[in-house]
Amino acid sequence: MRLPKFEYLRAGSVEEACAMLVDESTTALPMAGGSDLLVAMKQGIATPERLVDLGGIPGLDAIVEREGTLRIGALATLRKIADSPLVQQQWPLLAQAARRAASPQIRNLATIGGNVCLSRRCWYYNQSRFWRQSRPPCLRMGGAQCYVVAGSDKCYALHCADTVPPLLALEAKVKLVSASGERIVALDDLYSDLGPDAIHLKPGEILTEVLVPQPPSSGFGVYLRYSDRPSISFPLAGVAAIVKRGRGGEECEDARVAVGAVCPKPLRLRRGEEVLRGQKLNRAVISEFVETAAREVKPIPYIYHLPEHKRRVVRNLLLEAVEKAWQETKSC
Amino acid sequence: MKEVVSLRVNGETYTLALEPNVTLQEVLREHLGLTGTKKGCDGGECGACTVLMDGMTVNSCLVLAMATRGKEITTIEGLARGGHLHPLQKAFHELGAIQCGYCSPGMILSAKALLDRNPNPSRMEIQRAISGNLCRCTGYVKIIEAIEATAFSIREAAREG
Repeated sequence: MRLPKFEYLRAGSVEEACAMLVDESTTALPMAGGSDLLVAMKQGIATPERLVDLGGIPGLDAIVEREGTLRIGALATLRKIADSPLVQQQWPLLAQAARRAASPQIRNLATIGGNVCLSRRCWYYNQSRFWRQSRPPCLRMGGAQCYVVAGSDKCYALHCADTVPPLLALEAKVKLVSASGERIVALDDLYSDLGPDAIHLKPGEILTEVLVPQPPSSGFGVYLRYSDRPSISFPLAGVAAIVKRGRGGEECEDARVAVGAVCPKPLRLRRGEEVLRGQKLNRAVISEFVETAAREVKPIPYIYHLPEHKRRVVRNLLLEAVEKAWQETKSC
Repeated sequence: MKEVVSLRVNGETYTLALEPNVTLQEVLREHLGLTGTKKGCDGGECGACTVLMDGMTVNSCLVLAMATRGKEITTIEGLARGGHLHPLQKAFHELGAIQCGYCSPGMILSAKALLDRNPNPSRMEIQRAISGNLCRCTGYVKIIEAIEATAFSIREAAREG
């Protein structure tokens, strides 16, 4: 599949990139690693007339800690994050997720900015032109129907990024920069509930940095992912859980749980977290947690992965993640 | 609009006038005649197009030629030295790790990237290193054995040397 023709510009700075993206004469998209964008362009589902390559902007791939906060430049590759001693030691949950995403080749190109801003995915959408020609266009392609939720007037595409459930559990924020200034947004507030646009960015706005606060001290984080194969594919469900023991060593002082790829919007499962907080995590409590948390999730089918199946998977991942995290805090 | 791009491939510099929509895979195969790099899925899901860029594996179908400025590209053609096969190539050949051969260039380059940074990989580490390369013929067993054998022989040669 040939890429369609486009104008290619290399930005030398964030300011330049913002200016290149806001041009009324052309449709422009930013390119980071390009590992998802180029596939979409080959399939004819992304059709920018101009690509603005952010790869040449100095310093945009830095991974540093400042005053306890991990600051990851949007262009840092998943490989670099997974291999970073700083991230491995102090934010191991994030390193875990970065190591599990995609394949080695893709991790060497894909960036955290691209992963956070990942275009929502659907079996009926992320296909070649040839495949999509076999049926009338879906809502997202300007047609009249959604093939996933019959009768819907909204798009139910899913956000399938591996780093996002961990970042939600870590209560990360992102920095967005445009010509009119910059803003810091909590990742929890970044995503739209439904619809093809996962994130509402202002025209010419770029995500430049991911800011991750210190995880709960002596808390332990686990990221588990369910997919049709152990590598390459996007997750069908991803669960991140952080639990922390209290002073007494018996009760759970803090719990943070997030799920991705099951719904259009990645979610913190706060009602489930409430069940765990202050409790001794025995079988009964964890079971109640799993039931409460799983009910916060309304799974959307993905081909033959029907909602009941996805719900079962989410329950199993929640159980395994919290049990494992709790076990590991024992040994801290 | 074509732009002049200089690419470093297997130690040589090539200067070409290219449109922006040309991928590294297309440059290597169609402009430079280096057809060792294969076209499989063309979408980053099979690894047949794997090349090394600054020593790291990438899917060349997902890299714009324009974005390779200043990078060192290594293809399968760049492994043999002075007519002698690289130890990985010899092992793949001798241990039956090649059937149709289509996954082999990408597989070998993924293995090379692994052995270059980890001369004593475990079986798990080998499996992880080739997890982005699909093979429909061999069932992976002999590929993994060939990589293990190469690692062993490289370590032995280093000890005796």
